[in-house]
Parts: sequence; C-alpha cells; structure tokens
Amino acid sequence: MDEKVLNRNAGKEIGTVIGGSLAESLTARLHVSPQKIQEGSFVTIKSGDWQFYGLITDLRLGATDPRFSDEQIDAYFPPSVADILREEVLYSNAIILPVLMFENGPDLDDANIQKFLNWKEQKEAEGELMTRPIQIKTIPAHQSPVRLASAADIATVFGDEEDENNFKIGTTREQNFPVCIDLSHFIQRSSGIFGATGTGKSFLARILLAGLIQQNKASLLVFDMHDEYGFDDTASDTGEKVTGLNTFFGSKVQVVGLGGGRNIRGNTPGFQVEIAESDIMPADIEMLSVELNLKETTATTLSALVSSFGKNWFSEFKAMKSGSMITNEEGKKVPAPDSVAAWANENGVNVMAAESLHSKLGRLFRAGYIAANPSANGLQNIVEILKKGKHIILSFSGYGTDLDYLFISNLITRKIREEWEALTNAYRNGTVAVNEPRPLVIVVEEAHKLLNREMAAQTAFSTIAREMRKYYVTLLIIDQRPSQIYDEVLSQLGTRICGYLTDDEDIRAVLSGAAGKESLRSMLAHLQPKEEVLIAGWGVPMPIPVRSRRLDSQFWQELGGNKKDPLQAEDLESQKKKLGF
Amino acid sequence: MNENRIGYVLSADTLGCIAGRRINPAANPSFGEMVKIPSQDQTELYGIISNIHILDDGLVRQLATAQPIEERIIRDNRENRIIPLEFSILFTGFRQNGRISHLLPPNPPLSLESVFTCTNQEIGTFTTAGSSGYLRYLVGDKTALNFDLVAAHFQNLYALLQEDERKFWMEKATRTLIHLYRNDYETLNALLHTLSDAAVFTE
Repeated sequence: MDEKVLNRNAGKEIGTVIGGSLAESLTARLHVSPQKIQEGSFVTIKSGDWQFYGLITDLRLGATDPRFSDEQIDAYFPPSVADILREEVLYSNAIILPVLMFENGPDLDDANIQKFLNWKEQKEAEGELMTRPIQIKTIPAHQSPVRLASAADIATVFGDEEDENNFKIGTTREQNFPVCIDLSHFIQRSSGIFGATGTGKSFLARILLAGLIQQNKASLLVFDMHDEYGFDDTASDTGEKVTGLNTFFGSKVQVVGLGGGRNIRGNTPGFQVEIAESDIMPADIEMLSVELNLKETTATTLSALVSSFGKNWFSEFKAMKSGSMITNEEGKKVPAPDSVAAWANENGVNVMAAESLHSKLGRLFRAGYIAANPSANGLQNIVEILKKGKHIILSFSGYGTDLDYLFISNLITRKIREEWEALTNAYRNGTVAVNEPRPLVIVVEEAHKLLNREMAAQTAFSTIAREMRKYYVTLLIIDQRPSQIYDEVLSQLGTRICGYLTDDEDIRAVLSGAAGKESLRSMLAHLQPKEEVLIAGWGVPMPIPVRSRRLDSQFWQELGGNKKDPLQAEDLESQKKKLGF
Repeated sequence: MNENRIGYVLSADTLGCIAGRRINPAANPSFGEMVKIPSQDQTELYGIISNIHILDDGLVRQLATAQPIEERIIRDNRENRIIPLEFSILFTGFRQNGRISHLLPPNPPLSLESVFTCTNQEIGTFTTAGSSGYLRYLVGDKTALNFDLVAAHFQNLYALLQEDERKFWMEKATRTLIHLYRNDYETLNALLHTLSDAAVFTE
C-alpha cells in the first residue's frame, strides 16, 4: 500500500477540536505545552473519513475561571496540588485556520486495514475516490484529534519531492519536512517575491529561477538591475561566494550586457545589446515622464516628431540643436535651420515645449546603449534566444539609474509582448504550423518603479500581469515595497512569496485578496527576518510559512543530481594546481 | 465481624442513612470514617460518616440548670441515656457480586441493619477501584462540612496507605476533585484550601 496513505496519522497528536466555525477558524484545546507549537504550524485533523488540513494562526491562554489565572497558585497550595491545578484549570488553545479537506477513509491501523480497503474499493467503484485535497467546505467534529502534519501529510498537500514536476522551495519550520511547488503550475500566473531589504529576496529568486531552468519549464528573462544573477557573487551579509546561474547552467543561460564593450564584474557577457534609435517609440518616452520630469505637452511634441520623421524621429530630434540661432538676410536673429525651434515653428509646435523636451531627452541622447545603427539587432537576438528555450539575464552593469532600468526593461518587454502575442495568435489560429509558444517568465526587480500607480498604466508590465497569461507570458516581480505596486497589478499576482515585512501597508498589500488574510497577517508579521517566508496563492494548495532553502553548495549539488557546485569544483582544481598536478 | 459493628441503621434514603449506637467513649464513630452496611440482598453498602449528633434527651436541659452538676450524674447521663448517639452516613458506593461501584446503592438499607467499620483492606480495595468518582458524594452540598469531610477522608487514607500507594492515590483523588469542580471556582478553591490545611501532601 502507498506509504503516504499508511503514514497519514504519523504526526504527533497535540490536541482536540473543541469548537469553531468554517468562517471563523477552529479552536483546539492543546494537550501539549504551547511552547511546542508555533504560529503557522501545519496541522491535520482526522474526523470520520475526512482529513482536514489547516494552519495554526493563534495561540491563546485560557482558564476554566479567569480567577484561577490571577491566583498565586504556588503561594497557596502544595506543589503537587498546584501542578495538578495548573494542568486541569489552566490551558492553551490553538486557533486553526482550516484550508483543505481530503476524504481518505477510515483510520488506518492493523485492525482497520481491511475496512479501509473495502472503503477504497467502494469509492473507486462509485468514481468518488479523491486523489487530492479540496478547499474546505465543512468542519471536523468536536473532539477530533489534531496532529502536527507528518512528512506524508506535507507531501499529500504540496507534492512529493521525488516527483519531477515538484521543486523543493523550503521546509516546514518545526520539523523540516520538504515543502514543494509545482513549477509548471506556478508559472501559469504572475507571481511576486516580497520582503524587506536584506531578507533574502534575491537568494530566494535565484533558487526559484534555478529550479525553473533545471526543470526546463519556461524561458526566463531577468532584468538584473544589480548584476546579481548571472555570474558568481558574494553574499553581502555572510561574505560567502554565491554561484551564478550562468556559472552553473553554462550556455543555457546567456548573460547579456547593455551597451558595447562593458564587463560585468570582470566577466565578459555572452553578447552586448544596443537599442536601435529606430526602435524607440513615443510611448517609451512618455513612460519616463516622472523620471524626466516631462510636461503635459510632451505627447503633442512627440506626435509631431513622428509625423515629421516617422520611425527615425529619435535620431532626427537628437541631431537638432537647441537654441541655435542665425542672422537672416534682414539682419534679424532667427532659429538655425537645424535647430529644434526651426522644426517647431515649421510644424506648429510650441517652441519652448520642443526645446524643453529636447533638453530633457539629453540623458537618453547620451545613453551608451542607444545607437543609430547597432552592429546587431540585439532586441531580436534576445527574442530568438528566448524562443529557443534558453534564458537571458540582462545585466545593467554601468547603467544603474532608474531611467536606464525603466527605459530598457519596458522597451524590451514591449517587444517581447508583441512577439509572444503574434506567436500565440498564429498557434491558436492554426493557419500555419506553429509550435505552442514556450512559456516565458519575465523577472523584474524593484518592481514598484515600473508598476506603481502612476507608471502601471503606461508600461508593458501591467498589461502582462493583467492579460498576458493567455499569451504564455507571466511576471515574477521582486520587490520590498509591495504597497507601492498598483492594486490592480497586485491583485493579478497568483503566487505570493513573502519574507519579513515591517510596514503594515506592505503586509496588507501582500495579502490583498487572500482568504483568511487577517490570520495570515499576524503570521507574516511574525516571520523571522531571514530565511522564513510565507507562500500563498495560486502556486500552493494552501498558505504555509516555510524555512526557505539555502543557496549553498548542497543546493547546487541536489539540483544537479549531485553534480558538484562549480565554485567548489573550481577550488578543487586550483588546489590540484597548487599541489603540482 | 461483630466486633467492628458500630451501630444500627435508624433511618435511610438513597443518599445516606442515620445510624445510632450506645455511647462508648472508647469506640465512638469518627467523622470521615469509612463504614459498610451489609444488606439482606448480598449487597454491601459503603459510606462515610459525615456527621455525628449528640441529641438532647429531654433531661439534659433540666440538668444544665443545676449548678454544679455532680460528676456521677454526668456519667450516668452519658452512659445510661435512652437516646443513642446518632451519626449520618453518606453512601459512596456498593459491592455487588464482588464488583465495586462508586455509585449510589440500588436500595437503601433497612432499619436496624448493622453498620460496621471497614477494615484497612476493604478501604484500600474500595478507594483504589475506579477513578475516585465517589468523592463527588462527599462534596455534595459544598458546605464547609463537606469540604472538611473530604479532608478527613484524605487524612484517613494518608494514614492507612503505604508510601508509594499514598502518593498515587493522593494525586489521583486530587486530580478527580479538580476535574470535577474546575468550572466552580468557589468550591474548588475552598476545597483545595481545606485539603492543604489537612497537610496530607508530602512532597
């Protein structure tokens, strides 16, 4: 018989259900010290043929009469009486948020195996044998035993680590049982990793990305603002070396530099990407209105530029001189023919508005990653690589301003969005033989800069979060200020992985739309500052706090089927050399 | 067994009975003492002496007016009075077909049934059977008398049981009482204070 089925009551009994409701959680009287239980503990409750799964969301002290709590018991009664009195009249209750239920038959022990087999046979014959837990629809009976979940319970709900579709994201906090995510399910919707600074968001993101690459579930495009993901790095807090995704996965992961001739942490990127001036659209500029302090007249001016020069508007505008004057035949000073003012006058555009825009676009005119005639079509290269199932880490090395990040990430994402929409439409129309588009996950750091209330409507990212799921493109956003992200975008996030947060607004934002959010809110507020995260939403059957996996050599060995961590292998090689081998 | 007889049933109901005996200062019943009453139907009723009454025989009031009362008159009144010493017994259980139940007996004893003190073995057998649930009959009306009755019973058991049995019984009986009255702060508090005063808990 399936070991998981046999082990379902293996968890330690900690109490019994004494009350509650479906809407307001269950209350269980603890039979063990409250110190042995933690908020967020995953528990199971067996009631009849059903197994219920839930989370402990609160622990409360109680007394049969509150006066017993006030009494100085030790001062009045002998120790043996005081001990018994404490056990009998003072107690602890656990509040349990029931989340899932699973009809798994009669209790299993030696005497009941035949009863269980009969039950199973009958359910199979009726076609009602459940294979996985369902959302909670009823509650367990009074006095049902509450147990800490066993490894088998965790595997029943979150999947077995041995299953190739599952990826271990961490372990339960109390008993270190592995908690898995089905990555093919995870990527079907946009998701977010949140946490205050220094809580390990980037490490957790690396772990997830490594899992996605290893399982080959989707192509990844990572906008690597801080050059963390591609090449090896050093952890800022521990000083330990951290293996880069390119180091481990080799050619599967292409690190792309921005602009020409730049190194990334002393490493040469796979190729450099330059943006052709002709690829820049007015919308790409309008999106930068806050960053460049653009005026309301910008849209009119840009529109006139496109009317005048078509797709070469950026090059032409860049070539114009601002404030350039000449003396005409009548001896009057007039704008030079190659000046912004001359063009503005000719096209009925406000001269001051045009000159102001020209001045403000100066930062882009001087950007090293924009070229009139790039040697290669970098944008198209990126798209082709992603289509082939490889992964891109776009490193912003040397271009770390918000302007660079906003401009490039939005421009590339817009291009990708167009490509994937076209691919999907072709695939769905069936007019030509086209393979199903490969799922694409776009990883965005500092997401609030692109997805805040002001920007969300203008960037391609909000469209992706809202609509691109059906075009095989989803977002993985990484941010420390979820409250700054536009509500409409946040509500579209399927899976939320959240580390330690201190700001009430951020906590509220992360849990917006989640069932039982008041209970989860307290759990979130009590996470450890490092290596503990709450996973909730689409990607997991129920919310659960986990101790996240460590990004260490053991992780890489496990990921690679015990293939040696490249950093360690390198050390070994250098040691051999030192020894003269 | 006759030498253990301490009186005869005068009146009875399902909860308990009143028994009487001639006064004998050397062998008068004690508060909290455990007794048994074998009945005609082979059932042995167990109970605990919950009150002792020295009733007015009609003469003592007149005697009390004389000052001083002579010693021989006092002794004569005590030894030859026609009113018995009466004592109340609360039933705590019964033995039927060799099985002890901590429940009220199916029938009260008939008048003039003999009341015997229990032997140590009988006390040990009765009190260690089951979960000490019979203590609820002692707490009864939750008066100071009831609480002292429980304390007297604990003291008797303390004196009777061996050290290892004593600790086990004291803990079990205390737990039973606390469990029974855990939702009744006044009763439990008074009861435990009384038990603490009985000094039966050696640590």
